[in-house]
Amino acid sequence: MSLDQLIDNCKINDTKAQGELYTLFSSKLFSVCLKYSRNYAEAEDNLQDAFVTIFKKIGQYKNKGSFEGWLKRITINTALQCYRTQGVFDIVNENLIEDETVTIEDENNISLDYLLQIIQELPDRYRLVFNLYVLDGYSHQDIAEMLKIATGTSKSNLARARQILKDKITDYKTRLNSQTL
Amino acid sequence: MSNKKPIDRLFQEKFKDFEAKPNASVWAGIQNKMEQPKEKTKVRFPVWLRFASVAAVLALVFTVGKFSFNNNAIEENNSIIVDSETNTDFNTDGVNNNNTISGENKNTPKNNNTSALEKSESLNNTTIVVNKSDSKNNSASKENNLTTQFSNKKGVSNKQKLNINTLFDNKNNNSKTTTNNSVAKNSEKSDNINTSNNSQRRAKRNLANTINTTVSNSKNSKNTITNNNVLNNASNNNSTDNSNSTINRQNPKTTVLDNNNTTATTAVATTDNEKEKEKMMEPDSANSSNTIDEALAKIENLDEKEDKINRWTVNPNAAPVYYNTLGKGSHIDQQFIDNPKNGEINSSYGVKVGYNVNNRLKVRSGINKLNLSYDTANVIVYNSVSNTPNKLSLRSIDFIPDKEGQTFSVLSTDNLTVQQVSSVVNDNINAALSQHISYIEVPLELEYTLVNKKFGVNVIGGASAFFLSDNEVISEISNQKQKIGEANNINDISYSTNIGLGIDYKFNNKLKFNFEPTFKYQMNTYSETFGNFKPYIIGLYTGFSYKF
Repeated sequence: MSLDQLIDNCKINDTKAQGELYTLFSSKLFSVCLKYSRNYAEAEDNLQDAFVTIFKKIGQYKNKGSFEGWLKRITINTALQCYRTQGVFDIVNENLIEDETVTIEDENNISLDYLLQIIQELPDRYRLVFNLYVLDGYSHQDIAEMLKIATGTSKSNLARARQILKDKITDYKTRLNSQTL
Repeated sequence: MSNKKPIDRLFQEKFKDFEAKPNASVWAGIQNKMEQPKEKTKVRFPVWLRFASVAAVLALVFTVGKFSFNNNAIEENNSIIVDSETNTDFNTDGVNNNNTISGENKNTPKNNNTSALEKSESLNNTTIVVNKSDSKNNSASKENNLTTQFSNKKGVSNKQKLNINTLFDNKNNNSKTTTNNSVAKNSEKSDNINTSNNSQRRAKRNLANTINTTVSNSKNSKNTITNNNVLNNASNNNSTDNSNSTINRQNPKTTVLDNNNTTATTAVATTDNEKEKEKMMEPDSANSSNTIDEALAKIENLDEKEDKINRWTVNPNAAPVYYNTLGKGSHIDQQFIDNPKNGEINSSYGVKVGYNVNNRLKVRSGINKLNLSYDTANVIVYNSVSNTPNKLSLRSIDFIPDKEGQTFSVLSTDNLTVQQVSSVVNDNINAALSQHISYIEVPLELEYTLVNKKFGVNVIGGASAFFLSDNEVISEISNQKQKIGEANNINDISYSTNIGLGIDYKFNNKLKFNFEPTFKYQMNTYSETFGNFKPYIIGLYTGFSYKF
C-alpha cells in the first residue's frame, strides 16, 4: 500500500491503516517526543496525544509538502502544548546573549543516550529552544512565535542551553577519563 | 586531541538518525482514545442499543443470580468459596444477592474464629466486622484476608457465569472428590491460572481498561496445609494485584460472614471444590472468559463513553399556543361554516427529553399538556323546548342538560332571517360557541443544528401524537361561560406533523435558553368536519434545556 493510499484510508478512520501508519512513523516521532520531553513517561504521553491528534486531523492534510514533516510538526506542537498550559514560558525576559559559537572537542565516544539525557535535564524552555533551533531547524523568529517569547529571549535561551550542555559534556568526559586512569 | 567543532554539530550528527521504538502500551492508549469518536459514527441506534444492552445484561444477571442463589441455598452451610470477578460498572442493585465471593485462608483447621469470610448480604444476616486483631495469632492469614476482602461482591461474576455448571457439578461431587493432589501439581496449576489471569489482564488493559478482574483463589486443606499455604500465597498475590487495581474504582462494601459454623470439614469440601474447579478452568477458561469479558467490556465501554459525551438533555418548556384552521369550515356543523371564527391563544407546557445522536442531530421526545380553544361566533344558544334536540344539525355535539334538566341547542344566526333574529334573539343569546380541547401531546422530533455557537439555530421536524384528555363545548355570552356539552367528533388520538425553527442561547455548556416557534398541522383530529376545516397549532415554545 502506498503512503498516499494509507493516508486516504486513515482519513476514513480505518483502524488497520492507522495501525500501519503508527508502525511506520512511531519510532521517528517518538524520538522527537523524547527530545522535547522531560523524561520517558512524558514522551510516551506526548506521543500518544500526538497520534490521536494526527488521526483526528489527518483529513486536513492535503498531500502538500512532506507528510513526515506534517507529522513531526504536530508532534512538536503537542509537546509544546503541554508546556504552554503549564505556563513555563512566563520566565522573565532574558536579554543576555552569549557567544553563539560554543565549541566542543569532537568526541565519538559520547553515547546518544547520554546526550538525550542531558537534553532532557535542561530547563524546559532551554530544552525546547535548543531542540527547535539546533535539531529541528526552526529559526529564532519561528521559535519566538511558537513559544510566544521574544526572539532575543530565544537566542539567549539557546546560548544558555549550549553552555549547560557543553559543561555537562566536559564534565562527563573528565569523569570518563578519571575512570580510565 | 581532536579538532574542535560547534556543539550544535555534535548533537545534529548524533540525532540525525535517532529513532526510538515506543512501548506497545502507547498504541493501546491511542486506540483507546480513538475509540470514542469511532463509536459515535458506528452506533446507528444508540438508544435502542443502550436499552437492549442493559436489558440483556439484566437478563443475564438475573439468570445467573437465580441459578447461583439456588445453588447457594442448597449448600448454605458450606460457605462456598468462589472465584470472583468484578465488573464494577454494572451496578445493578438486584444482583447483589448471591455471588459472593470470598477467600479465606486457614492455616489450621481449628481456626474457626479467624475472621472474615466475606459474603453476600442475602445469604446470612449475621454480619461481623472484621477486626484485624482477630487474625493476630494468624499473621499469615491476615494479609490474605485483607486482600480477599477486596474481592468484590457487587458485580456479575463473569467467571461464575462461565463456570457455573462446573461449580454445580463440583458441589455435587464434593463428597467424592479426594484431596490427593501433589504439591507440584497444585502449584503448577496455580501458575497456569496466574498466567491466564495475567494475560487476561493484559488483554483487558489493552482493550479498554474497564474491567478489572479480581480473582481470589483460596484453598484450605486439612491434609495439605503447607502446600496450600504455598498455593494461597501464589494465588493471593495474584489477586492482590488485581484487587488493588480495582480498589480505586470500587467501594468495597464488605459484609462479613460469620464463619463460626464453618468447620474443618467444610474447609476440606471447599478445597476439593477449588481443586476441581481449577482443573476445569484450565483448558478453556482463559480463552472463553476472555471473549465474554471482551464483549462485556465493549458494551460497558460504550455505555461509559456515551455517558461521557453528555448526550441527554432535559428541556422543560411552556408556550403560548394558537389554534386555528387553514380552510374555511367548521368542526361543529354545516351551518357554522360561514360564521366568524377565531382561534384563541392558550397554553402548553411540558418537558422534553433529547438525545444527541451526534453533534448536529438530536432525537427528542417528551410529554406536553396542551390546551386549545376555538371560538365560533354568532351562535344562538337556546334551551330547546322539546327534549329531542335537532339531530340533523347538531349531531356533533352531545349536549348536557343544565340544572333544570333543560337541554341546550345552538343555532347559527346566519340561518335566521333578520326578522327572526329581531324577534327571537336578544343580546343575551347571541353567543360564541367555544370548543375547548385538552390534549396530552407526545412529540417525536428530530432537531438538526444549523448554527452551534453562543446563539444556536436549528430546525425541527417530526410528529406528535395527541391523546385527548378533555373536551368541552362552552357557550360564551359576554363574560359568562357555561358548559353546554361535549363534542363527539373529536378523536381520542390524533396526530400532527411538526415543523419548527429553534433559536437558543447558551449560558454555558449545560444550560441553554430555547425559543422554538413551531407549526403543527393536525391530522385525524375530528372524525367529521364540515367545510374545509384543517386545524393547525402554532406554539412559541420557550424553555430552558439542561444537558447532563
